[in-house]
Amino acid sequence: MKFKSFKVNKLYLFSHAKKVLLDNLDIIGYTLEYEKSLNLTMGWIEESFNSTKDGGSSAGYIFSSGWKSSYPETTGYLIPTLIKYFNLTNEANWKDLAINAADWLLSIQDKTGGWQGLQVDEKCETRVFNTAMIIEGLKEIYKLNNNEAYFNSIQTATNWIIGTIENNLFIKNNVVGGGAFDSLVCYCLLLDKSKYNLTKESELKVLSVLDSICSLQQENFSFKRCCFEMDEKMLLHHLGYTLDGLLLSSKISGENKYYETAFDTCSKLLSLFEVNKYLPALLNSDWTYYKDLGNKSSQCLTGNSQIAICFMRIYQYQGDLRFLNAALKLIDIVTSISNYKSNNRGISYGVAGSYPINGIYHQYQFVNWGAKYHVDSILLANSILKKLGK
Amino acid sequence: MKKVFLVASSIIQDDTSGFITEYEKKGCKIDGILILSRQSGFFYRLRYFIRIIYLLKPNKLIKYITNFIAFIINKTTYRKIVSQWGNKSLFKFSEKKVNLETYAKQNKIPLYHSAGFNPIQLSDICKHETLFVMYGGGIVDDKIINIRNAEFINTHMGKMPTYRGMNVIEWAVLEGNEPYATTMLMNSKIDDGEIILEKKINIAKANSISSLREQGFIACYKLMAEAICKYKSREIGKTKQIGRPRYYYRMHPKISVILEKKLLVNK
Repeated sequence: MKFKSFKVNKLYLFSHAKKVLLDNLDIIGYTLEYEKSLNLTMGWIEESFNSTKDGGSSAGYIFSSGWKSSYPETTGYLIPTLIKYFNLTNEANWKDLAINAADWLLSIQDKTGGWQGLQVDEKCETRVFNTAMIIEGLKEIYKLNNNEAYFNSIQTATNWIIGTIENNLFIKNNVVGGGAFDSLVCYCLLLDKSKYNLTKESELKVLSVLDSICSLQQENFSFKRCCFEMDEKMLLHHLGYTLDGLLLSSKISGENKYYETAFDTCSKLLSLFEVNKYLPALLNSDWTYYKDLGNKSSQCLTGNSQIAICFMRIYQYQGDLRFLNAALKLIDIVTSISNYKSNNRGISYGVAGSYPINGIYHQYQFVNWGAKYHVDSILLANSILKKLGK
Repeated sequence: MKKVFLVASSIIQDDTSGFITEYEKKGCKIDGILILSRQSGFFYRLRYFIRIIYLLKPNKLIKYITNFIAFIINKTTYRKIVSQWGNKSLFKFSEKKVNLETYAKQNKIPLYHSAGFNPIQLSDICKHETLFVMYGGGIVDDKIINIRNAEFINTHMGKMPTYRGMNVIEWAVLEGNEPYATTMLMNSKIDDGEIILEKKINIAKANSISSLREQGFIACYKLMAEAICKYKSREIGKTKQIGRPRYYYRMHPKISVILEKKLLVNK
C-alpha cells in the first residue's frame, strides 16, 4: 500500500485500519438474521440523513473526509425503500424522512426539469439517469399524499428526459447516459404511466430505447456499455441496473423480450456465482473475472444485492427456485460483510462499496445506495420466503 | 461378458458396502478393486511427511492465523460463510460394512492402491472390456475416459438431464417432482453421460431431509447393482440424455427449512 493512500484515507485511524486489515484477511461477521441486518442497515441509512441536515441522504462515508454531502439521485431512490420500511414497522420517523427527502429534492430541481449529478456540493450538469431515479422516488411519495407539487415535478422531469432520446433511440450520451443501465430510466418513465399522462408517442419512444438496449447484449449474453470508463468490461453495479430495468420494464409493459434478454444474462451470472462462490466487481466481456487486486478480484456489494433482487424477480416470474437459492446466498454475503460494529458511526453496519474495502468500486467508502439495495433485497426475500413457507 | 472393477476412495465405504451386498444378491461378482488413495505402504507413510510440509506452506499458515484471529474476535471468515450452504447427509448406514481388502483376499481378486487414475495401470487392466463402478475418483478427465475398453459408470440421485448437480433429490421433492436415480456412463462433463438405467426413488418413508437422502442413497447403490448386472451382460444398452439440462447447486439453509416442513407435513 502506498504511503499517499495511507495518509489520504487516514488509515492511521484505528477504525479505518481495523476494517482494512480484517477485510484483507477475509474476516467477516456471522450471517445475521435478515430482520436484524435490515434494522441495523436502516440505522445506518438514518445516520446518513442525520449527517446532512438538509433533508437529503449523504452519499456515504468516505475514509478521507468523513460523511459526504447529500446525493440527490440516491436520496430519490431511497424514498421507496423508506416507505416500504415504514409500512413494515409503522414507525412515523421513516415516513417523515421520506417526505423531507422529497421536499428537499423539489427544492433543488433544475428549471429544465432535471436534477444535477453527483452530490449537491459539487458543480455538475443535470443528468438523465439521476433524474429518473428521483422520479421513481417522487412517484412513490405522490402515492402517499397526492401533493400536486410532486406531480408537476414528475411531469417536468419526464418531459425533459423524453426530449433527450436521440434518433438512434438511445438516451443522449453524456457521462451517465446512453448506457445499458438506462433500462432503469425507461422503467421509471413507464411506472404508473397512465396516472402521469405519458403520451402514446412518448411511450413508444421509451420502448424503442429498451429495444436498443437489448441490442447491446452480445452472443455470450454479456452487455456492452455497462461500465462508465471501460466499454469492454461490465461493472456488476451497472449490470444490476440494466437487468433490473429490463425485468421491471417487461413486467409493466407486458413485453416478454425484455424479460428473456435479462434472463439469459442472469442465467450466466447464476452459474458463475454458484461455481466461484462470489461475483466480481468487474467482469470482462468474455465473462472472466477482472482481477483488480493483483491476483484476485474484489466484490461490489451493491452489485451483489442488485443481482440478488434480479434473481428473486426471475423466481417470482417463473418459479425457478435455483434463482431464489442463489439470491439468498448473495444476501448472506452482504449480510455477513456488513455485520461490522465500530465506534465510528459512518462505518458501523454500513455497506461498503467494495469487499475488501480497498477494491476498485468506491474504494474506502460506505455508500448509501449499497445500503438501499441491501435493504430492498432483504425486504423482497422476506416476502418471498413467507409465501413459500405457507 | 465385460469385467467389473470397483473404484473407491477408501477401504471401507457405505456406498461400496451397499453396492457389493446388492450385487452379490443378484449372483454377480466383481473382478477387481481400485482404491484411489495412498492407504498403505511407503506412500502411506510418506503422506504424513508431505502433509507436514504442506501445512507449513505460507498460504496455509495465513489461513490458520486468520481462523485464529476470527475466533478470538468472535467473527468468522468468508470461506466458512460460503461453506455453510448445503445439506449434509446425516444418516447412519445400517447395512453390513464391507472391508474391501478383506473382500479382495476372500474372493481372490486383485486390489490396487493408487494416488489417482494411472493411464498405464488402467490400460493394463483394460485388456478386455472393463466397467469401472465409480465410488471414488471424482470427475474423470478425457485422457482417462478415452482409454480403450474402459467405461466409467456412476449413479446420480436425480433424473437426467433435468436434475444435474447437487442436492438434487431435495430440489426434486421441493419442486413437487418425483425423485429418480440414474445410472450413467461418465464423460468429462458433469452429469452429462449416456443413461444406462433410471428408476423412481421411493420416498414414502422420508419425513426429513436426512431420511430423504438415506432413501436416495440406498436407491442409488441398488440401481447401480442392477444396472451393472444388466449392462455387463448386454441385456440393456445406453441412451443419450434428451432435453435441456438444468444444473442445481447446494441448497440454502432457509430453503432447507421450508423443505423440512414440507416433508413433515406430507408425512
